[in-house]
Amino acid sequence: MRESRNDRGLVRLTEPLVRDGKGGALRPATWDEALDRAAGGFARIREAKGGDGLGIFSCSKSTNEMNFLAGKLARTGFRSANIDSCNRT
Amino acid sequence: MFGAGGGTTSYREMEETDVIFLWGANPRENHPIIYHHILKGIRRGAKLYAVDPRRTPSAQWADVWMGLNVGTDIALSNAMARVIIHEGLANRAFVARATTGFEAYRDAVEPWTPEAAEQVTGVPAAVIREAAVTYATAPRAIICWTLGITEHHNAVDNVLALINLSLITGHVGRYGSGLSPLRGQNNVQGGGDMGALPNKLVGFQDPLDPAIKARFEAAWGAPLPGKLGWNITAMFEAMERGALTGLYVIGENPAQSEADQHRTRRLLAGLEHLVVQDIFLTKTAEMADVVLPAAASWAEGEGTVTNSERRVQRVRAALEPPGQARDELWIVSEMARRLGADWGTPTAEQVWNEVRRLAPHMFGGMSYARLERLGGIQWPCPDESHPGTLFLHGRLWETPRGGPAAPISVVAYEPPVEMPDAEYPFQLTTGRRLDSYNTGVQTEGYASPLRRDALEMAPEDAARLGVGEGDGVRVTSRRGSITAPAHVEPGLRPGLVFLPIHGQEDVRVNLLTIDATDPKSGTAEFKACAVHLEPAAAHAAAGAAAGRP
Repeated sequence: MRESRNDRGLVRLTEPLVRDGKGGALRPATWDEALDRAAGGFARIREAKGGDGLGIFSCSKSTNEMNFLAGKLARTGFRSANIDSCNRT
Repeated sequence: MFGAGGGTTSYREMEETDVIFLWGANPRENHPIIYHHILKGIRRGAKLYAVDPRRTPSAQWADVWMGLNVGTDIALSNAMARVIIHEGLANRAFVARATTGFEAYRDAVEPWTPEAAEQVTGVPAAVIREAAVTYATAPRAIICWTLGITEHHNAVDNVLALINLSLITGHVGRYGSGLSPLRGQNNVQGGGDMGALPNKLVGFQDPLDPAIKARFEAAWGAPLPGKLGWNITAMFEAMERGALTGLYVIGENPAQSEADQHRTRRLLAGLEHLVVQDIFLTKTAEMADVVLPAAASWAEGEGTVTNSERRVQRVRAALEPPGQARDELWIVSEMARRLGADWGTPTAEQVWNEVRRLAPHMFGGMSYARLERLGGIQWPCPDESHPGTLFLHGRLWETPRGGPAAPISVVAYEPPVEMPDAEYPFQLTTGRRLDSYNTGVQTEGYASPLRRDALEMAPEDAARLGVGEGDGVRVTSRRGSITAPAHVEPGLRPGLVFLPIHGQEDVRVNLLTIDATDPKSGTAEFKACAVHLEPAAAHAAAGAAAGRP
């Protein structure tokens, strides 16, 4: 995998990454594979536990629009109100 | 408290007020934009008070530094209130027309004489008297606060104590007088405004109100959860008992920013499914099952953000995101589609117009065109002829009063949860500095002669420990241990040490901090825990003698 850090600090993420199994390493993936895996994992937990099993930490440096959609995703996609926007540190 | 969660006061009012209190706030280092407005106020003759256990750069600039003991803010404010009431300086007419609870509060602060408060706070009684009289008699006065007040186990009570002072003096709801929480991250205000909260929908609307719930369900074409959700503190507790096992982290780095880092990392590692969306491979992203590369929202995306004076402003894309990094609105929309919530791929302006439709009382008048023409608009702004709202709660001065009375709250002094004792005799407080930002991910990559990730201690303590500038010190709390170079800081009193939160690679301060949270706000007591200090050389020698590696 490409270096995540150079001598001036961290370098930008430029490709989706997935981990094959809990002990494995992160490897590059396509957007479709990464999003399918990301959403698939959430859907499995939603079916097994309902919205209580899921949560979102939203970004206090991102835009109003992103935060609004994160809240909408929580309530209509995750079926959960477990969302917070890191306003407590 | 007052209905909507925003500071009452505009930046320009800081330039035209008579007294400014920086209570648990160090804007000269940590809110430089706001500090420029404060400087203009000082130049016009405003008097500046700094209430802070440390003689910070802001406190050095102030007319009066009230160097109180950590976590004694309620004792101080109760004593100031008692002075104000006893000197006949309370605004009784405002109290009668606009507030409730004055009598109970007056009785509750009666024991807090300036002398009693001096015993607890360490601030001289004469200084307490003078500050109280100056605040109460000033034509206009603003109290600013931030994490010095809210990073405590009794955060909400600390804030109520400051609100009380504004209510008994009438220093709220009019130009140049008010209450200003200085928000840290550039859009932490907006996150709450937009309903990225477990207990509020966009515009601070109640998800359990039947009419509101029905309106959102109709708009979104989906049922809403029938109960409120968990904040971050409660989510970590749910992870602890295995109830919450899937987490989507967007642009945050809890593996480094949360208190009690050993515990936080254990809980994140125990998740069944962790997805991280970010611009860098942070320590949290390194733990994820899926990492989604995002565009940087302030330079590579379109949208709006909201600052500490409730001003919504446009941000615009100036660069393309690198490689395959994608716009955040696209990522979240793609995630939603795969989970059965298909809302298409809206542009930022389309999303914002939905916000305006769902929360017209706050944002109805804020089209992108008006935001651009006016250079930003302060909420509430209900329609397109409304200019936005300069300061809040003017309704308290209307005749008849607009809306309900504001409650004055009885709040009791409580010391921090973990105080120094024989085993851990020093008090550790934490904070930020000018050159760095939060966990250092975005700022560590540039050189700064100011950067100093050191344990700051009073000269007396350094001498007693036999530690000089730059010498290694081992710092240990009940939760963990780190080593940091010492910096001798005359602005600290003996017994109090300080660590910045930024140097997270080497000086991992959150291994030490305590996760004692305010149940009402979920904020942890980052500002106070107990530690033991020893010179690193002595620790190493003892370890070698004991056969430790």
